[in-house]
Amino acid sequence: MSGDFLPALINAPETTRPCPVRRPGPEDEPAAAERGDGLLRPSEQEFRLLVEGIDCVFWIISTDLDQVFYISPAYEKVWGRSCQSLYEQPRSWLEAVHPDDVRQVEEAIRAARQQRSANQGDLVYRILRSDGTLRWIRARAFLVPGEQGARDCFIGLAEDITDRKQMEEALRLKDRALECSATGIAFASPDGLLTYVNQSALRMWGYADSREMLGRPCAAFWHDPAKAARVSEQLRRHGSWTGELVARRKDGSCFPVELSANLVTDAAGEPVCMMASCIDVTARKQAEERLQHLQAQLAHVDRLATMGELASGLAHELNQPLTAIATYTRAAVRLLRAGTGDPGQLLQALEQAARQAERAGEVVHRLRRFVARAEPHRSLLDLNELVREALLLSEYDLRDGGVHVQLDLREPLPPVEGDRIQLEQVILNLIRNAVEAMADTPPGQRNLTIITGPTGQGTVEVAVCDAGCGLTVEMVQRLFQPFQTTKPQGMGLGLAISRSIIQAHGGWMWARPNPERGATFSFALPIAGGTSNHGAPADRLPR
Amino acid sequence: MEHRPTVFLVDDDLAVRDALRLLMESVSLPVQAYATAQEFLDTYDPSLPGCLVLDVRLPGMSGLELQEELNARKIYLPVIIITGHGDVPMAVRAMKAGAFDFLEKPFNDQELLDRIHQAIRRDLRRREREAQRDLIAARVALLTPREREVLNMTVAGKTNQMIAEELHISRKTLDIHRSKIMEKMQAQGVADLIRLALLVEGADCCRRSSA
Repeated sequence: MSGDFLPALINAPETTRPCPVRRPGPEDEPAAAERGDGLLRPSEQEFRLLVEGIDCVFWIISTDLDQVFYISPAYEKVWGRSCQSLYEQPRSWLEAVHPDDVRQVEEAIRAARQQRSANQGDLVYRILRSDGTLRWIRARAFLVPGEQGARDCFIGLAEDITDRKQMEEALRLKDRALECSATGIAFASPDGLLTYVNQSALRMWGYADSREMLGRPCAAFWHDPAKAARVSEQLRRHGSWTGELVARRKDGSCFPVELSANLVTDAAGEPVCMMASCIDVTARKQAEERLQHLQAQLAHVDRLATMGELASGLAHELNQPLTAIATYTRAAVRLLRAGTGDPGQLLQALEQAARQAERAGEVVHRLRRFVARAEPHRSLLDLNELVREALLLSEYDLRDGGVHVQLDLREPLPPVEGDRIQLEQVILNLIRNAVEAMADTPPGQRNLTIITGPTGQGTVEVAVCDAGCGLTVEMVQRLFQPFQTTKPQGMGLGLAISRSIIQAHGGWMWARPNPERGATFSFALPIAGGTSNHGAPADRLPR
Repeated sequence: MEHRPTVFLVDDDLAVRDALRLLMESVSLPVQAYATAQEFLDTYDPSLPGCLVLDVRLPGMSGLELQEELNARKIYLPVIIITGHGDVPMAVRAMKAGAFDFLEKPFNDQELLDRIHQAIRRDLRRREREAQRDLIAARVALLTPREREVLNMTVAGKTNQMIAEELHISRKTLDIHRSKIMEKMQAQGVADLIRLALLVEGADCCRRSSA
């Protein structure tokens, strides 16, 4: 900037009003020509074109801030004040500076004045406009020494960087959110090399520094690298993958992770990176296992309770053959002593006695199998077989209750997978529930119907229909809650436990009143190895 | 004896029923076995002596219900309850309903047979008493109203003079009534007459005369 140019420029406001923005036109030329500044005129015009066409505020001000020589029209837009007001009150721009930033601005000005040089770098400060909005300003100024008695002045640019600031802030927030998220988050390049991990992921995998992880292939952090590779492949092909994987920590230990991964693409649809969010489900798995264990214990307790209630019936079951055996043999002894029995009669008596002993043995066997404290053991089961076995166990209850049983069992029934004892207990509970519900039904009408069959939706259904007191809407709602009972002896756990057993087997249980009389309790279980829509496979890897 | 006393047996368990039948046969007791209470009710002839061996838990009509039905029909066949389920309330109910005894399965065969024999003896005695009572009642039926009055007053312990005065009859007329009564009742003397009259007392003569 030449010394000639500056005074002309500085004097400019005295002859022309720079605001509002005005493009220098042909009508300006005579005025400028009169001042005899022909040499400078093109430069000034170019200068005006430049400073008045940009969004930045351009200004020239005396170093003591007492006189504004020039302010570009952008000032009105950025500061929200008129240029005229600044010419009249040269310090008024400073009034708008945010109170927290005033010191910093004044300090910079003082330093520049003392050093008689431009301030060293950009000065960033905030202004508060009269409309209440806040603007971020980045300013840069140079000190221009006055020549030939002219005053020293600052010449500078102030840029409104509010939008950029806000964007930066939003980005920083996102970045912090990613970093601090409780979910482990990782990015990888399209070829599978780790490019980012957040704090949670670091912690989950047991690393202290992200540099230990970055740059390595993702597959290295999973227990089964082959499976991880299949997940990556699926991700590249379909864009996302959700499921459970076993992860391997730095120290080699493993933990279950619920992984949700997706491919991030650019505007053209090209993959830019892979993103994964991971949740350590160890605690949930443990809770599930605890729950399962608890449920098994509860089922056993229920079984023992049922056992107690069945005990008197089973004692009777044993008494019958024992009575028959004792009586047959005593009769045989009498016949032998008296010498009156014919061999055929004696033979028949002894054979009958032996058969009754076997019958007693069968009752004992059934009893022992029933109370056996077997660990939950999954196997392929025929529900029809379980229905028949449960009926055998309930034989006494059914006979005592005068209940007529009707079976409608579809043969052959697709197998289900589950614990024999637990599922048998469920059927037993439903049968006993039905018998008890029919206590007040007239003897000839105590009909119990058990129906089995495939549903056509990948499940097998068992329905137990009684002709008992039925169900009200309110009862249906509370039926499966624990300790809900209408029976004086019961704990009210049978149905609640039954339902939790069925749910643990991936099935569900429900009840509804029959149109005519009584109620029907049903449950459905997924067919073993089938493609039920209702099961919850832990691993959804493609087959 | 027209009919040999029979053991009637009701138990729904085929093996128990069959074994008990064999036990009865081994001691030469006639036996009739039934699977349900209804079957027994439908076929039993109350004139047949014997006893009933009855299981409590039965399909349809229970043992206790059968007992009540028998009482309602005034069938007094002695009942021996056998049960595999001997709870106290049930035993109390059975005994209150007039059961002869209550045995728990499995029972000792001798004990059961002893009880059966006792029950049969009681049934026979009861039937004998009833037969005799019927016989005397038939004799009482032959008396004229006046003769019944005289008999009642005699049984009540009144002297001949009191009876004659109360009935406004002469001693002579009273003597004629008395001898007719002795003849019709086939009594061996006044003491015997009173014994016979007391056997049917309450059942027949007194109530009928005061009506």
